[in-house]
Amino acid sequence: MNENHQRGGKAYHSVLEPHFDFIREQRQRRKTWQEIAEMFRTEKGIRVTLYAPYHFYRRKLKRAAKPHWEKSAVDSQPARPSVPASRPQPRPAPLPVQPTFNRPNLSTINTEEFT
Amino acid sequence: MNITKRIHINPQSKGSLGKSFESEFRTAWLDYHRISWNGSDLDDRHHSFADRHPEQVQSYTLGNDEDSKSTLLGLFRNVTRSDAPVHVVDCRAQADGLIVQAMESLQLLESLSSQGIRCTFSLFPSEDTESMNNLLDLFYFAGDRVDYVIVHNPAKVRTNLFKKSNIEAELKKFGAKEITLPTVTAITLLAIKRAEAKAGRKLSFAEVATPGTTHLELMLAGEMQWAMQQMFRQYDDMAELLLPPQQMPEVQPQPKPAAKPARSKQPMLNLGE
Repeated sequence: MNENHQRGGKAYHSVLEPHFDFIREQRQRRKTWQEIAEMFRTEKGIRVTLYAPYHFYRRKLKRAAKPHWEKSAVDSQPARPSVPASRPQPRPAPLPVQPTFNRPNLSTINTEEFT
Repeated sequence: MNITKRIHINPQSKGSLGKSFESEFRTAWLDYHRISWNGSDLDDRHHSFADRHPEQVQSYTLGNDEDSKSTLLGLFRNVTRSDAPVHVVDCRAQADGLIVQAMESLQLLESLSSQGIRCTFSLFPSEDTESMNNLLDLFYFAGDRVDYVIVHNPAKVRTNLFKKSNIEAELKKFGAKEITLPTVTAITLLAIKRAEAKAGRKLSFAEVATPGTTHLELMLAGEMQWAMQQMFRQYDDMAELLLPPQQMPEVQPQPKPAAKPARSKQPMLNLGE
């Protein structure tokens, strides 16, 4: 059994992690992956292969499309189970329904006659 | 809605329309039919309604906006607790805004309706522009949530702006009925004031018109009796707007006035000859 293998600990983060927006911006400007890799070297001082930005960007987009199991567990599970939103609340609504009643038809009344 | 109680209220803002005068006839009519009633007097300056009926009418001071809301809430809560099937509210002048505001913010009409209580508004057409606009505002505010009695007062109003403006027709679509106040001579009205001064208290119309009392001369008491008879007939005809159904009086059909007998032709002199 490998004693050095440890579970948990810090999750792996790509060196490109803080530069996701930068890559997106360059892709929107129609830069090739090779140009982006070159820009990382010249502007950011990060040496990467031309595939690295491509794989990183693709992976990030895919992950963004589906919820992370940790994040979804936090977001989707309420502290206590609640009734579905479509089901009416058993308690009365705090605001009563506005009363509906018939009013006189003012258009038939000639207030000019008052003056 | 099963109406178990009625609140009569005359919320129009203008004074000197005959509101208190009409209330007196109405309460006398209720007494005549032995219908239990109580009332509230919102005229804190004159409180003549409370003075005339000290055992049945409670006097209130409306005060400013906030005070008036509390006052009216208290008043209407008392009405819901009372056993009397009819409650008569006599409003002072310029109180309409406070009353409407309180009714709206406390949702009184809906709340009372859910307890089987329905209001009847007495509306007084007049020659005054502001007063007529005020009448229209009250009508628009309440709509079909209340019933309406249109009170014509020929002693005060001589023009027919009301009919011309079509409000009358619109009110009748909402089931309103009309009554006309009798014109009582100034002599009798003055004599009532003198009698009140002599008695040291306000006198109800029933008191001054009752035969055998010494408040008024017989002829003047007779005029008040005549006026009450005029009003009672009209109230009988619209009792469904003034009373809960279980309190409706059994009204004896009034005999129609006999047609004038045709004069028999008598021989007459032909003065032309």
